[in-house]
Amino acid sequence: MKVMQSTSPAVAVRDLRKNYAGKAAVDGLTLSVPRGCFYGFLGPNGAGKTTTIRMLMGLIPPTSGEIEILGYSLPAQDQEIKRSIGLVPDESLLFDHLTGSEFIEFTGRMYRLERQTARERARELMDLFELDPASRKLIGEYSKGMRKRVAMAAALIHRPQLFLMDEPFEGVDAMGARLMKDILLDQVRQGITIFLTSHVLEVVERLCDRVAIIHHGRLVVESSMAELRTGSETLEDIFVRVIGSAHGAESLEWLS
Amino acid sequence: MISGQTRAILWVQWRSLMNFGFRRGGVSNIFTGIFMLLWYGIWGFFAWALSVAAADPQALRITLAPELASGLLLMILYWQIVPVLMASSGLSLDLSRLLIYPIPHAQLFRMELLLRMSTAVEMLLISAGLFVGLMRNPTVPKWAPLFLFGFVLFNVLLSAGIRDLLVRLMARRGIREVMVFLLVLITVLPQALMMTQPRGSMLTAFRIGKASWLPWMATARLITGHFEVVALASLAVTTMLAAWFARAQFERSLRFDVAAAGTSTAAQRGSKLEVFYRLPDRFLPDPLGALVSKELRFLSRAPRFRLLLLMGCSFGLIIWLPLLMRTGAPGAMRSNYLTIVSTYSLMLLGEVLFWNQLGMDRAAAQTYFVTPVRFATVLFAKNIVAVFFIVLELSFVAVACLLLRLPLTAREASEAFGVTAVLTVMLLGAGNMMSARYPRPVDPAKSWRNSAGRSQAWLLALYPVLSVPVLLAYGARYAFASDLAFWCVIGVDLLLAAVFYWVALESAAETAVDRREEIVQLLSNAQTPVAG
Repeated sequence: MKVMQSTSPAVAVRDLRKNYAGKAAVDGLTLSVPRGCFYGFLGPNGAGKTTTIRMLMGLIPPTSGEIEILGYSLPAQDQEIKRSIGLVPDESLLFDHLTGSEFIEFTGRMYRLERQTARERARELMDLFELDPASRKLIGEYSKGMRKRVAMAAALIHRPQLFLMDEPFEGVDAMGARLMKDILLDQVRQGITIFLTSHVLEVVERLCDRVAIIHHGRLVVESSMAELRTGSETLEDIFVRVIGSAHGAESLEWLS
Repeated sequence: MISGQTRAILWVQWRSLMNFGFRRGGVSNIFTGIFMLLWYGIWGFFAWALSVAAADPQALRITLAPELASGLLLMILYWQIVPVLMASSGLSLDLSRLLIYPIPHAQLFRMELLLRMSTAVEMLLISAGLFVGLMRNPTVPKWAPLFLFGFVLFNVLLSAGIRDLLVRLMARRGIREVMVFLLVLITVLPQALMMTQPRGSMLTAFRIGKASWLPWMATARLITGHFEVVALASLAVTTMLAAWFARAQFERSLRFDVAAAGTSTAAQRGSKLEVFYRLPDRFLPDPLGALVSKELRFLSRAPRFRLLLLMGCSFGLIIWLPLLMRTGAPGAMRSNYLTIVSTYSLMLLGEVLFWNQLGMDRAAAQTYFVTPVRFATVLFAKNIVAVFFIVLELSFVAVACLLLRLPLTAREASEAFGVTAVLTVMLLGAGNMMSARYPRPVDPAKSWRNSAGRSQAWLLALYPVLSVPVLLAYGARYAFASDLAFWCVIGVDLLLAAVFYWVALESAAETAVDRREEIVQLLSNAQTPVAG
């Protein structure tokens, strides 16, 4: 069994595959995310981003391939991995019948924080994310943006080494997004790795050091933002070019 | 020793229950509090009474011991059914949500068992009462009541295994509806048995098998101090089998991929029904055709509606058939069987087709307010689809009656259709008004959930009032001893019902447009059913 090495990549996947009913959702994905990197994982709808991140989170088993997180291999060392990562999963993993602070406190206790510490941190995180710590509002009643904020707050509570985030900015208003971005950038400055999927290319372009684009479950681009920016193209231009399906409105006669 | 993680999970379970029970605030919270006190108070009282009876040597020997095995069997049934119903209401923690946390699998399994205990507290109270009573009974050896722990463990393990198995089955389309249907059927069965069996025979029915190898019989023998090797072996083997079953189901659930389960069947669903969905386009002009087509697609794909339709087609038959088969069933029951079943089925479909037409497809309901379509047309389209499904259901029940060779004449069949027609038109009119006045958000994916709200009180009052025209028709037949009188009144009823329907439709549409802000607000609120 491998022991964690600080030089190993934060995330390393080799020939990762996931099939659903014989069809490949992720098809031989290989990538390496360096430590301390802000990594954007992009792709059109149905490209396999969420399936990939759910495999990295250990929520679904891959059909084949290898996954290493922070030097630990999955699934053999899943407990070590889970202790070291913070997750902002899709909304289905939140507990709708809890209040925001109850959920964050619960998450802290799952990471074996003392109850008092978890409670204090939950209150502070609720404050930091501009959610009312005293509110009795249940997560099921939260707006989409509030749900994302509470999920991110919970992911921070145990000071993880790596964040895996699935569409963290989806439905978040401008103020909330700014707040979340500042917090994430601060984490990266401290050497934490962030791996996120997003549809908001402007955000990815502004925040990420490296990006990968997948299409039909396959990696089509993997590069640093600096390399990508050498030309005059924006990330959106590159994205549209590599995905190759930019139909203009002129293709429909009646719309012209 | 309970770990901090386990304590945290139990705390969350408790918080979820409290938050769900006391979420409305004010008077509602007081009622919830009183209800909980009463509920657990009643179980606590039973436990105390059981403890007193079990502690008294004479009461134990004469009253309790003969019925102990039956009681333990009832406990097993309760223990296995209630947690399943709790899970479907979203009150039980879903362990798959805990997979992201660093919790060892073995510990997760122990937590699962602890959670199973917390969802059948009533049976724990009863077991505790029985245990205390038996311990205090001087005629029962001190070792005997300890076997109750084995019985509790057997139940907890079996319950955990069954729940995991059901959760996986319910993730698969098609199977989910069948499973929920069977579950609901289990809850209806005792009522059907009570109605059809002679008094006292219910207990006899539960006294099946006197053999000591049955776990409830074995436990009854052991805890009253009758040590038998067969009984001991039975309890040990059944508990070990339950442990194996629970662990195997748990491991399979941990590896279970909901998306994969959904995809395998989703891929098989083709466009077989496309012809059926497009049928209204041939006969109805747009936007009515488009609306009817959309409604047919939505309802056919909503698990909640599919289940209700399935129940409507079968429950009436199942519940009323034993009464009909029973010797000495009243003549009125025989001649009106199809009418009774049809009316009953109509009530089952009522929630979706009449009373809360905007609540299930909430996004669509909001869209109607911004598209250039008269709201009366929207309601009319929904009503056409409702009539279609009611005719379908009634025809199915009639065909089933013929296949079962039930005494069904053309006169009885036409009477059932006539009565159902009047009731349907009346219900549609009233339902349109209720839908515009009291819309409630409902999750179409949740197959089984009780609907509640103040509209329920309205329904209790409305059903008898809306049935008056039909009752008048039967009154006319009775008074004039003539079928012609019955059909004349039904004809007039239909005419009046149609007038009522048109007035109600326009009124409901007007109300909906006036109250659109409130309706959109109510339907956007994901407070209750959407929260899972």
